[in-house]
Amino acid sequence: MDNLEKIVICGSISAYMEIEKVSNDLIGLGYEVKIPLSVERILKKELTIEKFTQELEEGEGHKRKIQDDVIRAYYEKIKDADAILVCNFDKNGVANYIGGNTFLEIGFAHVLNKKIFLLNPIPKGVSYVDEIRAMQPVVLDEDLGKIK
Amino acid sequence: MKITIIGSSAFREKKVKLFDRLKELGHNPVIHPHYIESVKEGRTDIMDRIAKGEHAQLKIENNYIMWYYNAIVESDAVLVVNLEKNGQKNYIGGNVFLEIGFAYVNRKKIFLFNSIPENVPYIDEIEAMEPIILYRDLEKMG
Repeated sequence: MDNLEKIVICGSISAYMEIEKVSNDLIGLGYEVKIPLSVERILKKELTIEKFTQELEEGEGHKRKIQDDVIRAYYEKIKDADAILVCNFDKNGVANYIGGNTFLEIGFAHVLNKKIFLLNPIPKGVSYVDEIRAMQPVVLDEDLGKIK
Repeated sequence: MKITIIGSSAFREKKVKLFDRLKELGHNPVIHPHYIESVKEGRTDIMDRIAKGEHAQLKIENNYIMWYYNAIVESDAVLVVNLEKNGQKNYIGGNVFLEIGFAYVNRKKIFLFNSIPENVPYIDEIEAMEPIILYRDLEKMG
């Protein structure tokens, strides 16, 4: 594991079950792991995925981000970590989907000189492919053993 | 106010004009020197390479993302130049979206020259970062 100890998981909230599994696998490998606040709340049953999705569909997604100050809070978590692991699963027909919020977190990791791991390859169906490539993430092809 | 000017490279001429205008208004604007070289000194190689699809490579070679992060950290505000591009009104591309994020987490003011675009996949995030829309009026920056 070398000096890489703390990993922040980034990804779409809709993949909360997969994120929980990856988080548990990483903890099993000895890493200290942080997961997105809304995933944490869903897993603790303080929030439901239905309510979260409904907020997004009603154009209210920004309110929760402001109320919980999630963008700045995650920036601080990334600052305190050694790496981020982007859980980019298929979503709405886009293979290896990376949404706006996760893309922003990749940007934070890049400027903070943290390692950037992608669980799956860079998606082709998003408009910011050039930027993701420019930040030179390491693609794990779902093999957590490749983290180093 | 020290203001970093950000926006798609397609808007470079307007960005350089706004750079000059902000100076006239007594601000201390910051723009990447490649834009000045491109617009005022006739440098063409960078835009030629972007046209050839080498944008990702250029970002790596010139470390543009980090350059902007450092410029934003040292500024009081960012001015997002969001004009129409390829039929998309008030366009904000991925790179500029990242820079808005850098400004936000470092508690800098975020000024948008025009309104928030409607057809980008990160509208929620832009709204959450509570930008101030200038409606093309620089005097509104205060």
